[in-house]
Amino acid sequence: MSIFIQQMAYRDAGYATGRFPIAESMANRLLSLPMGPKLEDAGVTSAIVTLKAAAHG
Amino acid sequence: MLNTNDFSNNVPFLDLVTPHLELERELVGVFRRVLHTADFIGGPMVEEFEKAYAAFCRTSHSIAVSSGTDALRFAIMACGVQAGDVVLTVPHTFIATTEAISQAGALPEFVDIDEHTYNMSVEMLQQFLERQCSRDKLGRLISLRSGRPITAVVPVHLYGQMADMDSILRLASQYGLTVIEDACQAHGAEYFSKKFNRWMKAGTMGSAAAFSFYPGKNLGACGEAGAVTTNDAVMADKIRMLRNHGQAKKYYHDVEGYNGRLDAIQCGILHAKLSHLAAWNAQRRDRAADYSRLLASNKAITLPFEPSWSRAVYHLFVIRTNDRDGMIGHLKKAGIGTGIHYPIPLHLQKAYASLNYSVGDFPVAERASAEIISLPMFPQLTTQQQARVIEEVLAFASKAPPKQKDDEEDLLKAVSVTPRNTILS
Repeated sequence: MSIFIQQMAYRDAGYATGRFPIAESMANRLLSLPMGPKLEDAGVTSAIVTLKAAAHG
Repeated sequence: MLNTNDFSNNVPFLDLVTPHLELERELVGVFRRVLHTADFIGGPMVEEFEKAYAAFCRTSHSIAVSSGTDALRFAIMACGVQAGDVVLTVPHTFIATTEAISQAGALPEFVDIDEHTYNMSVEMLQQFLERQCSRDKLGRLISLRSGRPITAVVPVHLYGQMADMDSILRLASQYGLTVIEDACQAHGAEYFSKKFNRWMKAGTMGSAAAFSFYPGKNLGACGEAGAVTTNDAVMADKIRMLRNHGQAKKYYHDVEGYNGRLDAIQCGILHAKLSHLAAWNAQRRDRAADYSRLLASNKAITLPFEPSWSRAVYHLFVIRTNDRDGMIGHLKKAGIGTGIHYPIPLHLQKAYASLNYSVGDFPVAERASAEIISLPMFPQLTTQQQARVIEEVLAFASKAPPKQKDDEEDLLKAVSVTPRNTILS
């Protein structure tokens, strides 16, 4: 399910998939939500509704 | 440098205020456009400028980057120069040329300049390649000086005039070297190539070329800016990656790159100014012709030399005289700004002490650096201002007959007593 792609820039550093399991897992699972001082309540609500639907769906 | 509008009798070395006030509405419009889209980094304004600048230079690609230094560094890296390689250039240039070489991981080595054009001497380059290099077992060209392989040459189109590119390219191809043009002072300069039987623009002849848009340049940003031009699509892609943290795709880093992008505001400003560049260059050429005509009679002054194969764009107008410092003092008293480009050749800079060059290694560059003066030169220089400069230059040159100085001794003195921060500034 999760795909971990190594950065080509550091392919010579000798690391393999599985070496940093937490970082690898996070890279596959994290997402950043809309965030800013001008984000309005309606925007927050809409993001929450969408997220909940996705989580339950 | 006087950056102010000067309504007195004084003549600034460079007036950056007037051209910006002339374009105020257009330039503020650029800022407003970016403000409304918030496309600060990348986006259409960057791409449009890149297309327009490539069209101006007649190359297939131009890649906007954060400075001329980065432009040269990225071009050198993208053309395949490896860490530890030697890159040949001239000692008579701004230090950015050699900084770019060193920061690309290579080692700069110098060949002397031509007495008349102040650009790379083809004779010296040929002599260097014939006498100061050998071939190793792999057939690589090795510098006897450092024992390292030589892989590239960086001719500098100094003061707005192109180096003798046909000859440099011929030697480079004979010895298997890549040529990267340092065109940081040569936006729109042209060279008549006998090989191609046509006029060719700076930035089109090497594998790639670096341009600077530092504010005082023929095309200048309102801040730091630069670009690489090339006809090589692979090289263009590599440079696009290098300038943007080595990303081929967002967050996928194929290599470690740099933070070397040019922002949209600067691109918009440069695009607006680009439409005036040809006219500004023509004005510079007119001013240069006037200087040359009106100063020609004085034997104490050596004028810039423009070979028949060159159409220079006079980023700087550089004359030469024995009592250089005397003339600068005289002009300063008369309220006329001047510059020296450059007072200490790079092989004698403290920064390059480790390269182990010494006084006398590049006599032509050393003599030039002791005798050159840059006179006020910018498109908006008025006839009256120029008349004042000419009058004062002639007044000094005719009353003080040139005295012979021991340049070498002067240079030694200058190098040993100049405080470090002065050298670096």
